[in-house]
Amino acid sequence: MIAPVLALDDLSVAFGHGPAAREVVHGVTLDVRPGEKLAIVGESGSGKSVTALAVMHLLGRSGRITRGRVRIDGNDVTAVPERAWRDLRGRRVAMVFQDPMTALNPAFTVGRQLVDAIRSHDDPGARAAGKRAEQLLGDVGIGDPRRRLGLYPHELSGGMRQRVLIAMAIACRPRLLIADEPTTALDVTVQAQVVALLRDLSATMGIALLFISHNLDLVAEFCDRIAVMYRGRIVETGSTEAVFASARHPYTRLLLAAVPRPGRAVQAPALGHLSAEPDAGACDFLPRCPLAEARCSERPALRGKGTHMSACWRSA
Amino acid sequence: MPEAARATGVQPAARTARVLRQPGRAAPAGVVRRLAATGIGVVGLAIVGVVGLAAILAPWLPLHDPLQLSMEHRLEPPGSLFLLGTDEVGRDILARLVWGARGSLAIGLLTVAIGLSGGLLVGVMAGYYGGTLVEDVLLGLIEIFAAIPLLVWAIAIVGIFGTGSMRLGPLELPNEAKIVILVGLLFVPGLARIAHGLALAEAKADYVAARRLQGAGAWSIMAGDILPNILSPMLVQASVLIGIGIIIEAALSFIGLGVQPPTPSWGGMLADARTLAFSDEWWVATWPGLAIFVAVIGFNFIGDALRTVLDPRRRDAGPAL
Amino acid sequence: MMQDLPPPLLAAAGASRHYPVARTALARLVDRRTTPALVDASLELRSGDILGIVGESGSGKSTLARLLVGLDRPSSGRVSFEGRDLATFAAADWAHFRGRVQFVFQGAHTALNPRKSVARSLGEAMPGRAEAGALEALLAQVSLGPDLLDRLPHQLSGGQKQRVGIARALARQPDILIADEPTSALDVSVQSEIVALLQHLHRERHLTLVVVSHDLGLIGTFCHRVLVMYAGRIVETGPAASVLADPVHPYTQRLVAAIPRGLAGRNRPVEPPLPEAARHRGCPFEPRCSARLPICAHSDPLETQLGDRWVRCHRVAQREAEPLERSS
Repeated sequence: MIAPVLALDDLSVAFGHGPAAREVVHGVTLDVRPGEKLAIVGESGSGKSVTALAVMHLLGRSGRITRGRVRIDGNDVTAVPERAWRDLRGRRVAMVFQDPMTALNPAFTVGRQLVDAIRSHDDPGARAAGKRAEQLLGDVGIGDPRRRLGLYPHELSGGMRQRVLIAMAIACRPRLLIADEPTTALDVTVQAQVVALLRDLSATMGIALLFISHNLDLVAEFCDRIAVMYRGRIVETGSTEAVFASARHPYTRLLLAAVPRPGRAVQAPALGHLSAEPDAGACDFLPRCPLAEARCSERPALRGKGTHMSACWRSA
Repeated sequence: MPEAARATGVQPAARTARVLRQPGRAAPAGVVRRLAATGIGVVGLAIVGVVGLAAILAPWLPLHDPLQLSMEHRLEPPGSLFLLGTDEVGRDILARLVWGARGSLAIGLLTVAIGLSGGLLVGVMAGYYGGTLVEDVLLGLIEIFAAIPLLVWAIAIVGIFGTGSMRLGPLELPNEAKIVILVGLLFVPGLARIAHGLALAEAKADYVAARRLQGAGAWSIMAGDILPNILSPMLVQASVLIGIGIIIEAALSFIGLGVQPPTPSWGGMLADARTLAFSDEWWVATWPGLAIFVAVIGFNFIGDALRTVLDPRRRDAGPAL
Repeated sequence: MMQDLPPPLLAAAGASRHYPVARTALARLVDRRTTPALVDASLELRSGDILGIVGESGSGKSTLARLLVGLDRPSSGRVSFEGRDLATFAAADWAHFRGRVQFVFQGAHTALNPRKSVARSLGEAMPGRAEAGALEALLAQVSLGPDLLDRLPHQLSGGQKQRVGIARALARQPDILIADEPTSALDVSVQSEIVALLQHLHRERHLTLVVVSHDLGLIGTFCHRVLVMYAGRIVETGPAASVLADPVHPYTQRLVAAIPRGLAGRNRPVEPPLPEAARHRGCPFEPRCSARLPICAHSDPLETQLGDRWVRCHRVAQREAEPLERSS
């Protein structure tokens, strides 16, 4: 059995210290196999971005992993110090963020930043690095790459900038690429292209992809498996076909119903008071759930046959 | 509606009245409390508190007469009678330090107050009318003002108005007023530039456009919407400037253009002790120098802590991204 | 004889907006270059319409929206309300206009003053003094509870901020609401809630709506008519359902094709990235257009009518002209 590229085991993340500490991710368990494309889908506040940051050891000073393990290629990296992470980032795991403008340094050309990324792990020499940068730009679908190397970030469109960031991320051939809402800030025609690019890179270079998004329709077009997160917990997980064809968790069904499709009338789910907080220990979705019953006051664990699991008493 | 009232237990009318006050703005007492909660804020408050109290309570503290000359006690090292020693004409340094605090502090605060008022007025207008001739004219005026070097300005003012008190219509302004106005005006361009940049960004905000759609007038928007949102960084700048104001006062007094002797001032004390700084009588120059240093640091610390405290977004802790 | 229709509630006729390149008033005396943000836009809004304006960033949709509400003035052409040109408005006319037409800003950005509580932001939007319970009633119209009144914007979620922005626009009980990207930067389920809210307001309060968005799929689900914009021009106009089912303009076709389709869209081919659109004379979409003709590089097409559609495209104009030529 080949070890998964990424394995999260009961991962929990909290922010703040002492009495003000808040746990924002609770017991997330998932894995990504080599070359696989897994989507984490959830709304703002679901903890999906925090999970990604935890994997990359980018939680900042106020965040920390309180429970569980992170394994990359079988190696436990949960407690690895920051020094050692410089080696891991870029070579094993790389990340692409949502806003391409703030992720690129406006004072340096795109070529310079790309070469910096390349030379952070290898040292092929300036000329070889330049050639590799040009090749990478071509790999991510940027035409006329040689000329574009000399451009500054503000001279490129949003879609181009995101491609450059993807090029920087794959520069050292990582095993896993984490993309946190990479298309949300882009126009819809560019979205489609960036997503197609990620799909193709994953296929040709064997890079596993962890794609984070709030748009179910988008991830269904190209991801192999989906994990749905709600309030810091995974509430459903399974292959894309299974989750779409027969979603088991009421929240997943809500997300599916909410996606606007031309010709279909908007169905706004009936909601309780928007600022309701669920009770601790009960199912988090209880205030909004149309199927709520008495036993929902006790939070269900992920259950199900095979690989399609959901955290709902009604989905046994 | 009944459910809403039940939920909060307050009658709707009273609640509307209550919330129309501004719970979002920090009351002054609350700010001080929050300042005290930060490490730097505590130190800054302590320093400024001590200096401020010394300045205010000077007449009632058990000090020697700061103007009392005493040739037999000249240049005495710090001891039991004169805690910080005496200067070259026998005056008690501690007393002069405490009384000098009045001048330094007042000048520091007043000059910044003038600079901040003028800077905000000009800067906010220039920012709100960004892209128009009004902005160009105001910025041009700022540039002209900014081009005048402090010393030239000071010499000119003193040359024209002398170093005594000044008549301004029915008012009799003391000499120090000249310095305050002089340095205050000098602070205006720098603060105006900062205010202009901040106001320019705020003027583009959607909430300003929303106010225009409500029929709000230009001054209402400038004062009610733009000004409060740029106040925080401006106050940080201003608090740092207080320290600079103190230093400028000291510098002017050092060259004789500031507070005139025999009124004690820290700069004046340094000037008098010029030759003694590295000699055996180290205390004559060291104490006023330290006083300036510590006071300026105190204000800088407050400015730093203010920046953290006044930003409404930082009151809630949250994850990095 | 058919009676003339009353003038449209809100209309734009050949409205254009250019922005000067030079930043300061003095520099503008010397450097007179401008960039066009909106070119020759015409539309009519009638009572009870729900109009969607769709386009990507830089398409001019926000510029058009702002012209319609009087936040900006056209460089040429006119914007009129009930038949009267906004440029002729005096203070009293503006006051009346503000009570009838209001604007909802995109909630995620700086729509709300970060230092003002919800209560204060809403209070100052109300005409005159706020009566007891008026603020609570306003929040209730957007399905928010009164517990939010004391909160500052950074204590609200994206969806809540957007709703407060809508409530603020409703404070003067307008007849027309223009919403600029009311669902962008919101999660999918929150988006559908906002759309449902807008539909509810349209039904219950007889609001006429103009919704600006980059999400054609979303617009298509609830707007009656849609305007598609590209590079400052309206390239296609028509009933929403038919534009989405059968887009005529090549750009609209690309937009429709790019809408994610879930499982049905797996492994469908995606068109390769396009060359950057360069600025030149002629149709701005020409460098990217698969249906382009030689004339497209020289001349900006005018609108051609196709039944209930208007399309700005040379190829379409040519196709429409052919039967006439053949028959003559």
